[in-house]
Amino acid sequence: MPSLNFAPVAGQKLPAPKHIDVKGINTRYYDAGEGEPIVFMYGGNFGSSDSASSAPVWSLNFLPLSAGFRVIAFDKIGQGFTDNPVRNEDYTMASVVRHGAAFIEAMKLPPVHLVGHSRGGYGCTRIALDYPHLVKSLTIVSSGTLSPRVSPNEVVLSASPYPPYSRESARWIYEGYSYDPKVVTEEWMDNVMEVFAQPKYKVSVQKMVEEGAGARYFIPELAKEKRETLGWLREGRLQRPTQIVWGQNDPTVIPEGCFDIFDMIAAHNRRTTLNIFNHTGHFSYREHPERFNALLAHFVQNASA
Amino acid sequence: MTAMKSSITVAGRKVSILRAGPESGEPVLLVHGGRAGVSPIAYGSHIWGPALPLLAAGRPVIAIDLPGAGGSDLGSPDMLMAEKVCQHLLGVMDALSLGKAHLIGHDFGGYLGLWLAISAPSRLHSLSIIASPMAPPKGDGLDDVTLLATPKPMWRRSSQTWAFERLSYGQGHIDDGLLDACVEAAKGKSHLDAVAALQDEQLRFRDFGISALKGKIWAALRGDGMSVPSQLVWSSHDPQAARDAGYVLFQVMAKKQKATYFHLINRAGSFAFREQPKEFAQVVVSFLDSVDARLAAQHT
Repeated sequence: MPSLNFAPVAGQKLPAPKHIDVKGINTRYYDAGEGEPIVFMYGGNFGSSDSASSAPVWSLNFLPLSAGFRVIAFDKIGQGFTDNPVRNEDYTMASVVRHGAAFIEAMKLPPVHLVGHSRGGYGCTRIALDYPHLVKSLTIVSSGTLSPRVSPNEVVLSASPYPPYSRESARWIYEGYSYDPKVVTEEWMDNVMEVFAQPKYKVSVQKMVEEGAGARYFIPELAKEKRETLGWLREGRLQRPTQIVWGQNDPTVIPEGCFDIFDMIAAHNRRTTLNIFNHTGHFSYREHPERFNALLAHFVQNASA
Repeated sequence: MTAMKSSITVAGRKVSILRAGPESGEPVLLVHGGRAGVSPIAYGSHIWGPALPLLAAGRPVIAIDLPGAGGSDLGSPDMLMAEKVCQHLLGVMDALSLGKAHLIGHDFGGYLGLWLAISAPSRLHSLSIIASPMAPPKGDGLDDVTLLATPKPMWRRSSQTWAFERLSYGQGHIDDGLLDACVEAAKGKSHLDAVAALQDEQLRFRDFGISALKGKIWAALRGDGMSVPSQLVWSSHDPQAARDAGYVLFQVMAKKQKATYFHLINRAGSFAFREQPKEFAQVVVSFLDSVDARLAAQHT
């Protein structure tokens, strides 16, 4: 174990982002440090006008861990500063999974330690199932998308009282996700506003909402693939060291779901651990960064030994 | 890395300790489980086995023998009672010049840690409760039949092997090194004194003072709550420390302490630190690292 300072240091800045062509999709990513490669995949999906995820959401983890590992946070297809899908029918999770796997290949990284949050937790699990040769370990963080239980996101987060593409709306959403609203920093909201400001981002909203790609492709395809994914987990097809990290107070993901996911994976996979963080909503890695970083560092070290 | 055995004297009683790891760093105090004289396993610092070097990789670790276990004098039968043992543990920390320590307690040791975290929070950097069936609320639970038909005579090698097999998911850790140490501990004067003391029905009825403290524990947790960062490390297949009971305890402890964590280790019973030592260390050492990181950040 490299001697790391797991607590984020105030004022640390992310390195300049880089870009790589991933099968025709210009993909933005951050890359720092040396050692075992850790790839972070954030949550959310393209085409939401009330909030927007992008790679800098991992800033509190990326910088402390870069002292001991190669850390890479990339923007998913259609999100952050990565190109949108070309065809309307590619506004799907399957396309996010394909792009994620192709990014790892294009970066000539494999096998990597995948860390996925929320929809990204589903995406990383699916990469570990579909492309096991690319994956050394899997960390699933608060993923209602993977949980077999109902997720009450819509109860907490629908009908934002603020205008679309506004800072106030994004703040309202992320505060709704969090246990302590103070974790929603101005720096985080700056990142959201940068994403909103791009013309291509408004195109993704146009496609998903007004042209109906969300209702026609994204939601029904995900429902089918989720059924398949849970079946595969129950069959024991996930065969990499896996840890599950959950927030006890996540208003959008029922904590019981993490026990279900643990049981499905642990039945077949010895190296499976479950970790529940207290006073934590959806973003455990921002609410308890030093705990999350220490856990990830030890897990990755074990999985690499 | 070798562990060094030694002993100190606390209030006239010999206390046997096992040390490992570097001199510097925030110290870890390991408190083993079992109820000396009743448990069909003769517990002691030898129980930590493969976890000891993993925990001691970055900080000094001190594993003690509780009164009536291993090489530690029982003194009086009162020294079996939880509240007395906790006072004794503070005396041990004083004698070792440990102002504060990370406490890791298994089974009964985890219960002791919970009471120490409530009654003497200034002495603990953190608390890790490992697979403790006696720490969570009980309700009208079912009687525990895991060790109902312990083969007699108790504490022979065959009887202790049976108990380890009953309490474990993986059997690989039940090796000669473990059994030799447990048989030796069972034959020691300390353990024989505990067995003799528990012939007294009145003392047996008090069940190590566990339920007597429970009310105080819940009152404290209803009131100010935990001030010490804490984690619960439970296992997927523990026949005694059920996961739902552990998760309920986590929720009770978590009310007012942000740094509270619940973990499950796969394919382990009561002895995750022996059955899955690497995964155990991953969870536990990362917690200690994060608590130390916060301490360091507060000091700068």
